Amino acid sequence: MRNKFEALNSDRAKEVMADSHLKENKPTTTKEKTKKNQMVYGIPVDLAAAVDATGESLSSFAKRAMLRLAKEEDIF
Amino acid sequence: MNSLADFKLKLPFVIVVAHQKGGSGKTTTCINLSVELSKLLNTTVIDADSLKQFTTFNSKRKEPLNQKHISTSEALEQHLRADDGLTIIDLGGYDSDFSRAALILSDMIIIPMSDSDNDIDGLGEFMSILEKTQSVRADIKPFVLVNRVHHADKSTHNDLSAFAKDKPFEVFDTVIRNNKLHTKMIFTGENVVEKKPTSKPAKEILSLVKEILTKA
Repeated sequence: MRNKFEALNSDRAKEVMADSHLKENKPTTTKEKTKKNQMVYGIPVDLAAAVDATGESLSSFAKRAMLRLAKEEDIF
Repeated sequence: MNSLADFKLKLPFVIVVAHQKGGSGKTTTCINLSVELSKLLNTTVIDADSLKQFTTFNSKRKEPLNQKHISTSEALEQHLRADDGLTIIDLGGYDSDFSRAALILSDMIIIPMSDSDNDIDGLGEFMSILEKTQSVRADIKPFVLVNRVHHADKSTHNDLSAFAKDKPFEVFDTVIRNNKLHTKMIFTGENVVEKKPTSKPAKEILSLVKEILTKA
């Protein structure tokens, strides 16, 4: 008789597990974390850092407007 | 209780306490069994129920039971490959790929159920999951535990035993009856045997432990 670990990794087990109602909460991968961190209130981290570096106090609305302009100019 | 050598249970061994419906007594059963089986065997408990009531119970204990926090099938497989003792898993009342992995990796599934319509409905749903799990591993042993029934109830166990004859599960002989000793365990950190060793609920739990060790 095959052992339980072989059974768990069998095609039939994968079918049975895929058929469940809920999916596991997989731990967040480094890649996903990086993607999340790239945005601050919908603004790329690079742009937010560049604006902060100017010392100007800008609202997120202003930052988004800058982002829109930057995209039009192919800067981001 | 007899010595361990008299019983069938061989380590490593995995017990999963599961039922599709909430309120069937999964965590209560898990608490009572974990405390008693920890006295006999090297036991690890995994609280996979989102309510985390076993974890609360364990945090109240003077000497907490050995507990691991595992929520993915990969982590569960890794733990079981390395562990040579008894693992008890308290599964929540949900159907997920993790819960199915736990069922596939189990040696014994305990399904607590009362005589409520909710639990009987849930057993029907859970049976289809059991059948799928047994299509992966035919040697898994599911047992229904008649739980939380009235102290004078006789029909639930008889009816379920008759119903189970052509079904993919057996029914434990032990019946756990409603008793206030089973309540508030979560907040006191003591199971029924520790609370009142000579009480009826304590005797029922010890009888269940003996049955598990014999039927494993």
